[in-house]
Amino acid sequence: MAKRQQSRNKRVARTREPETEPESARGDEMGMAAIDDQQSIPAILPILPIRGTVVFPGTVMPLGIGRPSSRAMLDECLPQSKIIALFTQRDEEMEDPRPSDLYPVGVAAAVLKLMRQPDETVSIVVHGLKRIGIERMLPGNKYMRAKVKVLEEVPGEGKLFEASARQLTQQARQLIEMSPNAPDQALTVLLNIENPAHLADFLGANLNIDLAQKQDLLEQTIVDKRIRSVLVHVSKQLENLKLQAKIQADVQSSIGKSQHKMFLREQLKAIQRELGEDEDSNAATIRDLKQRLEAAAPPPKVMAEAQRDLNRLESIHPASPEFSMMLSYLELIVDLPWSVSGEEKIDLDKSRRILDRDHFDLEKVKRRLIEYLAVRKLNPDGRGPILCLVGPPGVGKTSLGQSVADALGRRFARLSLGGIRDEAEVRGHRRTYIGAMPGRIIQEIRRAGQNNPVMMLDELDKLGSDFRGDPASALLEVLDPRQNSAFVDRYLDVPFDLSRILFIATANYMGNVPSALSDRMEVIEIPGYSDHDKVQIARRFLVPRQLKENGLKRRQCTWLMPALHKVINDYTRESGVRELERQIGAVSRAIAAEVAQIKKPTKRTWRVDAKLVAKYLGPEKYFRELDSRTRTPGVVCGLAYTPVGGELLFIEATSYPGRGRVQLTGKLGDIMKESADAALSLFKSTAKSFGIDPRKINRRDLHIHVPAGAVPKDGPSAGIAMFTAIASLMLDVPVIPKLAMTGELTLRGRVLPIGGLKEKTLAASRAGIAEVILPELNRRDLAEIDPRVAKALRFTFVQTVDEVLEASLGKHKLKEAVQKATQAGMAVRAMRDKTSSLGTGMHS
Amino acid sequence: MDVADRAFRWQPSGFHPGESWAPSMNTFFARSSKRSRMVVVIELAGLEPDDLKIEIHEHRLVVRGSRRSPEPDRAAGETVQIQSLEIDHGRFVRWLPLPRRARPEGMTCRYESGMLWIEIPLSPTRSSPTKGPVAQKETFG
Ligand SMILES: Nc1ncnc2c1ncn2[C@@H]1O[C@H](COP(=O)(O)OP(=O)(O)OP(=O)(O)O)[C@@H](O)[C@H]1O
Ligand SMILES: [Mg+2]
Repeated sequence: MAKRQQSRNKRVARTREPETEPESARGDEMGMAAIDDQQSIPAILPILPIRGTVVFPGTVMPLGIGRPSSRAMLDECLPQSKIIALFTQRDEEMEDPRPSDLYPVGVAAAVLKLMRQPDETVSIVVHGLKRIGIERMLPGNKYMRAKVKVLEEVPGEGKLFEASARQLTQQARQLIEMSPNAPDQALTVLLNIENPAHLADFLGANLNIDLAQKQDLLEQTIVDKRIRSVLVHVSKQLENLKLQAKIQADVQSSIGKSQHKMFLREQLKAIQRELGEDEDSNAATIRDLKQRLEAAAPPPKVMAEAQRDLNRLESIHPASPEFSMMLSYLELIVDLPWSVSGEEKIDLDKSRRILDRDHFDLEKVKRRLIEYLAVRKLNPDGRGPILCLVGPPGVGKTSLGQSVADALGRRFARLSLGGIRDEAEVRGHRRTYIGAMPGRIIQEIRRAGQNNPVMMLDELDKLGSDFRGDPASALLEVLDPRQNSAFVDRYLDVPFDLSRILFIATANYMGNVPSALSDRMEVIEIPGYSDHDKVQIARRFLVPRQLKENGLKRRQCTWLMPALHKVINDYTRESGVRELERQIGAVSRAIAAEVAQIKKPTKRTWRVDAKLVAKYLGPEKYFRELDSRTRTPGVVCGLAYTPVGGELLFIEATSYPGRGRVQLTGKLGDIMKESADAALSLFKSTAKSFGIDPRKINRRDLHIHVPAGAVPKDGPSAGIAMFTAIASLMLDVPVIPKLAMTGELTLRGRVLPIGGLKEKTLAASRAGIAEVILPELNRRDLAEIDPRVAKALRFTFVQTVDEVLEASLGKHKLKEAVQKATQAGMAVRAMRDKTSSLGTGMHS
Repeated sequence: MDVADRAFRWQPSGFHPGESWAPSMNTFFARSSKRSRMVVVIELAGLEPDDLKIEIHEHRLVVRGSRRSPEPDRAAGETVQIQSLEIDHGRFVRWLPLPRRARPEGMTCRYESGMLWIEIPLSPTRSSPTKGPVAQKETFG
């Protein structure tokens, strides 16, 4: 017998224990099959009765083993096989459970670790593998053994199922985000689970629900039903939590005594529930809802409908799903700020003061904001356009929105549109849907607790759309002053007035905003900061904030200017200041750690200079690559205008023997390819004037590469840079160092104007460029360039490619090179009859 | 009395629908003027070669496999009691997102003295200075 077991153990081991979900395992996250699909749980398993907890498949859990019978079982079985059966006992107190005292469904689990304590108890760590049921108990005297069978799951399918799974992820995410004690990885784990069955198990294992409820989830092999049960638990917790958060906020802002009472009542109810004294809590709930409904004072029609629903609620059995659905709906109705408004008056002077308090400079932006508010003030229910702040990341768009709310004395609600693809996220799901929820607009209003908050539609350009409908058109309805005074969320199902909300949108790049939306927007651009601005922002805002956040006093730490410059130049490359703030934070943390290590109180002041920055932040992240890079002929700096601000781009031309073809690499768009072709044919047609035989060009292939990663590049403004790269290569003259250029090129060699001048010049100065070649026709736009940037750069305006080459290669160098090429060309012609392979003469 | 604290009772050890454990790993970048490469070494004693699977999936390096719990041979009639069981066993997985420059076609692997060495060449172009969202369109003008 022992022998047989041993040999079986071997077989099990060879087929790689422990067994897990063969069909997907990590496969669902990684899109590949698990390493071994043929594993099986042994048909006969020893049983470990457990109490007070349910182990779900996928969870790893420590268990303390006190009972002698359990210890004996482990001693005897583990050397053979690490897989055992875990069944929860119905009654925790029972010392010696019989099979009928166990719940019928348990898990097969692998014992991963085992430790013995001095007091004889054993701790093990188990990993739940699969749901199992008992087929037949087997005789044995020391511990229970059974023939078990693995319970196969019925996977869910269909739209409804997918919707509830999605709903579950969303709600669980909110719940975790609102839980102060959630471990850091909880959210990551949640968002990485793709298999809905795993999702339900993960939540089932971690939700604070009672044993019987957990066991119910374990026993549910129909994934669809399991998901729905978990959803009920999660939404209940979520409702509680939101209610409480709101109540607390209200109590803090001392909106009313009645709500404070309600808060106490709510807590009393929770206590009663714990004590099992809530027999008539149902009636109490309804009474409470009635009171809150009166207080909420919705419009008469809504009031009447809600009262009808309340009466119906009284007749529904509290345990039925309909009851809880109806309850959460009514909770929403009474929570919505039908008649709670924030400050309506607009005080322009105060607004200006607050904007100035929170943000450095941004003069033009602030002025536009104030003008906008002034118009609102004169014409409160005017149908003005929606403001849209456009600019690269980290320039303060979101925080300006918060400031505007503060300035007006209203709540701030932020709706991140990034990745919203489902219309229902804006407009809600019908209540008939399982796990239906109101859309984000209504949710945010509920959270804000005011019917006229400042609502930020953040990241408008990241709005998606797919088969589930077009969220943009739903947003349009929200923003349209003719429709939004009676906005109907599908869940809410009665109109809510959105017309008093102050909407502010943000985007990185207007080009990605659906035009139906952008037509309604009044765009305010925030172009990005110069180094000078950044230093000021850092000194006045970021440093003080980071010191405070890291528990440092102002006098404990002073930043010297060179240190800020070093962080800006060597550790960040951005238009905004977000990374800058992060790096300042990193230094502050390091200092805070040092302060904490000094035991006795100290008066020491940390002076942050460039050296200390280097010490704390490590090797520089960005180095100025200009000098080393542009020394080679064929390499030119171009300037691009991107959603994240202006950017320096290198254009690198090389050539090798071939047949006059051009190859372009670096994710170039069609327009950019065309402009490369145009540059080449222009060069060919003018080659003679440079002393270069056009036929020679036809014996070589040209490769133009625009590095800088995977960002697709397009647009015509690199024309002159392409041309210069080709000429520089062919003439073997490097471009003057620290020079950048931008301009479109015609086939006749004329230079046309370009857009994004402000961003491009900003990027140039940020990267340490000294001179910029610009189209003559852009001269009139010079005024829009930041004066400090304008001072740091030298501009050369050009009308033709000849001027471009003179300015970029140097008049003198160009002439020399042309002479040399002409002479070489003559020599080649003279020798052509004798040799045929001199085509490469130009590059030594 | 915070509802948030009551919503969950967190299990300490996470959730692993697939494998039971993850081996430790060191990673290195090595570069010279001629070539750059990335070296990954994973601590994985006591494996049989076919207990191991190394894959590139969606530009991630994925190492998975299974390790038997090492146990003493038994003489006839001998019983063994486990006093402690600490060494990880059973199925494991470890994965690592690769840098954009990695060229997994040139990957080489070697298993030596309980260490799994994986080497992946890196293409020479300097990593781009561009940060931020990649999927957006960029206009040149
Ligand atoms: N002019 C400024 N004065 C003071 N602080 C600023 C200024 N500009 C930006 N900041 C600070 O920089 C940080 C980043 O700003 P914010 O999050 O508002 O950027 P954003 O424009 O919304 O970026 P994204 O497009 O990535 O959402 C904030 O902490 C903000 O307070
Ligand atoms: Mg933002």
